Amino acid sequence: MTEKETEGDAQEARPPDWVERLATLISALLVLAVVAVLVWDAVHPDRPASLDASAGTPRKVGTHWHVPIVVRNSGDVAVQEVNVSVGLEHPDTAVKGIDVRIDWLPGRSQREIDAVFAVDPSRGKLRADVESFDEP
Amino acid sequence: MTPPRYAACIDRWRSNLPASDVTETTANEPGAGKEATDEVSRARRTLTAYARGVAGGLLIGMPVFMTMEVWWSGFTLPPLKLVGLLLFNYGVLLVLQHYSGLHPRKTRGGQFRAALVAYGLGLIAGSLVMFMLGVTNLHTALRDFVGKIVLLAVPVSVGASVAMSEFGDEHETVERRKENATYFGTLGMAAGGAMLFGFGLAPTEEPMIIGLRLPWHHALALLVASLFQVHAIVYAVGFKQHERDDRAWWRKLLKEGTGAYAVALLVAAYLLWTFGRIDADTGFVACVYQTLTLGFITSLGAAAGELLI
Repeated sequence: MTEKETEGDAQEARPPDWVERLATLISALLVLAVVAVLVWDAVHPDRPASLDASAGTPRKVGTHWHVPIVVRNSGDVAVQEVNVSVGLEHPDTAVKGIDVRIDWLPGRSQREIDAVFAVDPSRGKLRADVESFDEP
Repeated sequence: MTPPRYAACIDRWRSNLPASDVTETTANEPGAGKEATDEVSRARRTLTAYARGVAGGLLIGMPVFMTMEVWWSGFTLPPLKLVGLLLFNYGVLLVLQHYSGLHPRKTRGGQFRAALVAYGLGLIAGSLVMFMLGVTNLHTALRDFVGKIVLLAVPVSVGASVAMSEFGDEHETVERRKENATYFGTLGMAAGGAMLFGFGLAPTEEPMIIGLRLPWHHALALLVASLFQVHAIVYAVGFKQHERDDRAWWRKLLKEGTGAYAVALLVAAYLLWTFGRIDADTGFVACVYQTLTLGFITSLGAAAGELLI
């Protein structure tokens, strides 16, 4: 056995240094936390997807009005291809309908989209409804 | 003798300590100065190894970070599948620590710790990059966030676990182990390589779409091409001169090549199942064709596993 190999073996036999110990501890805690969340999610019953949409306060951007539409999934199950319709009944113009689609909406999450109107929506009646969605 | 750069480092460290601590350490314990030097140099070596691991992990993981299907899988995959993937990945990391590794300490305990730290580095790197890219934010649901980082930590941890080989840090023990690897050790390396290549592609729709559109003769051609490439790479990489001199080298080639391809197909099928591409409701032929399609990629990794690792 060479001197270098003997020195290497002696290094290997020594206890881990403080960086290795600290990193192992932090990693173990992180992995435990992650597994705990997943196991909790696995054992507790899933609430079915429950979606609703609501319109926020219009704001003028350039010559148009933008209305934030918040679509919320208060269930535990993720959904995809969420179709939302936004309608405006306005005294100065005909009823306007906008259809938008959201690709994915995870459980207990929300997405915000902007509906754009050429007239001030605050003078009319605005509504936002979830029309359909798909459960993967 | 302490190398000059470490000695300078120790001097700086000592200058920050209270005078009483320095006096006590040097006066009461003979050789304590050398021990402190050793401790700092070992800590520095570990920090360097971890920094190299993060770099190696990001090198492998970055394309996966920017794959939308992986983000979506974070909240669509059942939690137990994610736990299963975490455990499977830990097994792969242990094999990688044995033949390459994150940390130069090659004791059994050291390898268990290194595999754990590799996954921890993956979780931290995944969280930070997702936040930086705006994929997650403070409003992201906890389960969604955890699902995403569990997946993203896989390629980072695999990359971190082959960091020593990636950055050319040769280690005598590792080289000796690779040279004397048993058949199952070689298959373990093949699984690591297959995971390295397959994980980036398995969550995407492409293997599924290609697999579902394959006519039977194309599927057969894919099988033959995969087997050919596996054997060609195993021959080029695994069979060095002393192996070719052996009369029965072609038997070993067939054994290792076919074994590596079988491992590649198993890893491909497992990844497709994990990402919900194949399950009990999927037709048998569709399952086989999708596995053959992803197997074309995983077999490259499996065959070149020894080279990559």
